[in-house]
Amino acid sequence: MLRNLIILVIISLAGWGLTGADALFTPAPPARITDNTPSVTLNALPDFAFTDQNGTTRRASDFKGRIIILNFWASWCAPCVKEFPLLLQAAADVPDEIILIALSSDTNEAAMNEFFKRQNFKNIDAKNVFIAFDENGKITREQFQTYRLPETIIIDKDGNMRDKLVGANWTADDLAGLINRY
Amino acid sequence: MRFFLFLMFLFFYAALPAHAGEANIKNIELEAFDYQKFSQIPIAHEGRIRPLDSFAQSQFRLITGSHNPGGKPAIAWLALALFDPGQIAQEKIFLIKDKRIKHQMGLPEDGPDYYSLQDIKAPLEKGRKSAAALFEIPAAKLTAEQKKFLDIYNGAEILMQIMRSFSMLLPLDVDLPDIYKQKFPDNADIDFRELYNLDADLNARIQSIVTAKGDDPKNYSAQEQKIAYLGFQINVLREAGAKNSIFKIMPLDWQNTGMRQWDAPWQILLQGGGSPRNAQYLNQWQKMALSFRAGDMQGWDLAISGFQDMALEDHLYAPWRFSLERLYLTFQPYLIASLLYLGACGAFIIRWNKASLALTISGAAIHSSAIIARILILDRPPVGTLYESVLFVALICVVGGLIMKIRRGDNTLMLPGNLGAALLLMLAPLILPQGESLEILSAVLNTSFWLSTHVIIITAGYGFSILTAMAAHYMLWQQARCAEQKISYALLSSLSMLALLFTCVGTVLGGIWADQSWGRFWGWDPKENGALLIVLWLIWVQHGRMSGLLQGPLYAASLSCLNVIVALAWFGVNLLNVGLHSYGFTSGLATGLGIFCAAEISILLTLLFLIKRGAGDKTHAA
Repeated sequence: MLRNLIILVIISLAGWGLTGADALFTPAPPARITDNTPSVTLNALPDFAFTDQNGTTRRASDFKGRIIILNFWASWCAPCVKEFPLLLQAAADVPDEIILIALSSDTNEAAMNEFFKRQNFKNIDAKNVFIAFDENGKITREQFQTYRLPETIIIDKDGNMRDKLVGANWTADDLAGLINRY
Repeated sequence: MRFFLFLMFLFFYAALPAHAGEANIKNIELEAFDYQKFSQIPIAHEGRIRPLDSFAQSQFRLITGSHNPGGKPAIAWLALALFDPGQIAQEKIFLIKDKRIKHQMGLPEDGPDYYSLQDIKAPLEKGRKSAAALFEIPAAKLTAEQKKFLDIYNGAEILMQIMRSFSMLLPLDVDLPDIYKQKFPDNADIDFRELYNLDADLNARIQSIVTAKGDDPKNYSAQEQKIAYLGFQINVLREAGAKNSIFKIMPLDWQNTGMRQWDAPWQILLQGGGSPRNAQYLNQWQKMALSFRAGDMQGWDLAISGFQDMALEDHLYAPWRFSLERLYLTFQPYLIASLLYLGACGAFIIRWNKASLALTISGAAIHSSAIIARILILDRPPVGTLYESVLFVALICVVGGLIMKIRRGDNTLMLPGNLGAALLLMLAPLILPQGESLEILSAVLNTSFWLSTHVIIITAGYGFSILTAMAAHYMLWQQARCAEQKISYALLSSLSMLALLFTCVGTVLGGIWADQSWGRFWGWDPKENGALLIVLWLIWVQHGRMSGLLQGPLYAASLSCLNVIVALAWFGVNLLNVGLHSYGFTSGLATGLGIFCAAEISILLTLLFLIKRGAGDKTHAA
């Protein structure tokens, strides 16, 4: 009988060892794919160049040390138009720390300019807001694999792409929450 | 739902890039390519990251019923389906042997057994109404013929999904309107991603054409017709792609989504979430596709090496784990172990005891190594599914016999242990008609500590019960032959007490696990009742022995019946299709279980009859 009990204890300990004793005290996480790989790999922002609304050529690396909100949009995309004021407001709230780069996927630059003439966005002329036409989707689609508009990437001060907001279904608080992390 | 997806695929088949462009490429020689590195590309499938080879084998087994249809490896077929859908649609890989199914599909009954997707496209379309009706019926109520019929639909659907996975990056054969020709001087290499840049402009142009000339294309000029048709082609590809989610090879690394997630290229393209890294991965896939289509082996190797460098840099997978899985799937360790166990039985019978011991140890080493490999590949405890429990119980049987031999120098359990293990390992593949898939567990089973303890102990209990029953059979056999008694009643009693200990503790631990997972200790669930049945049977037999009611051969026969009791508790309750243990349900067991129970009872009655007659003869002779 004692021998049987020893066998039982050994098997129990083996089971314990297989899964980690701490699992006893923590609820099981939902089944997700991890395969022991790191949760998220940080990717550096590619250093793309664009021409802003004033005709100046700039590079993404020019803004290192500040948080970048990189927005992909188009004037024909209704959700993009809806979220645009929230992005401008976020940039206006902390002008020294945040840069807003809005890359337009409009069919041509004239359509984009026409759109801004019609709209009366607040803070559109702020120094930390850069709007650019992305010809043939070279940056938006080819480089950033972004086909569904709008999408917004938050880049931290070290130039790492951290979060992505897909669509316009987010609030100013959601955006502030993400920005405040960095 | 899956059926309607499939109908959609059929409808959109004409718009597949490969179909449109098949005239531009030559017939690909699958054997010419080296798939070694390609087979190690990681893919997220059925809840875990696995090598592409493992995905290919499981999917082509579902599509064709074989993991290497036509004698070619599944990974080669996968490459063909991904990169040259036009060619694989012509390959005769669908096995349809049943004449009734051929008849049902409108195929000639005495025709060939192998068909291509192109061959069965029209019959599938024709039979879609009856298939739709069958898809509404629960799988358990379908006849074997109906299941086979639906398997063909499912197989075709999976193949179509795979064929469409990269339709956004394969060259399209499109006739561009003049206004766009400047943008694409090399018309032959346009892919969907490039065409998508025209989408907004095309939509605006189509809208103005429709406003001016209505929606009848006959009223349009030749150029306007080309514009309208191009818009239609983009839409068709996009809508078909929107449903394509099987080939999850793209990692998504955004912190606000929590941890790394994986998705199919079409999903990232249309649902969003892509990144520059995804674009690089997709470009690498495009290089693979173009090299494959061009028969360029060097380009193929370079593209795959580039992909692997990126994957390792991003820690997408652990190479050692993939190599282990490849070895595990190629080696067929359980088949080898079962043959060694049978060999050990043979050697034991002809009294080659050393050979028997060597074969048993070799088998047990391979068997336990395979179980350890499984633990490492799946990163979880060894017993989570019905199939795994069979593998584990078989090991317990053989190890029980070995312990007796090594510790006491007693051979008597070698034959029952080896025979029980061999039979169980041969039974195991029947539980997985689709073959080894290394599946992950449903959430309720993946609850760490209690899974490890309860399931391991209860299955060890099954193992000792089967070992006891096999030893009891052996004892009855010796008595029937009036041969020298090698197994004592004391040994049988000790074994049955061991079985009782494990099943009893395992059942109680199961109650604790149920309390943790489902909020109640005991619910008279069929599986719980099954475990209790073994405990009650063992207690009843022990009490029978102590009270003198069950003695001699009757006691051994009662313990032999443990095989039937365990089979009913282990597999039988799965046939009921009720209760919380529904994760273990396996259809198609009823006949096998019935035959087994009837055979066991017949064997026991025959043995008892022979023993009684032998005893009568002795009395008569005296």
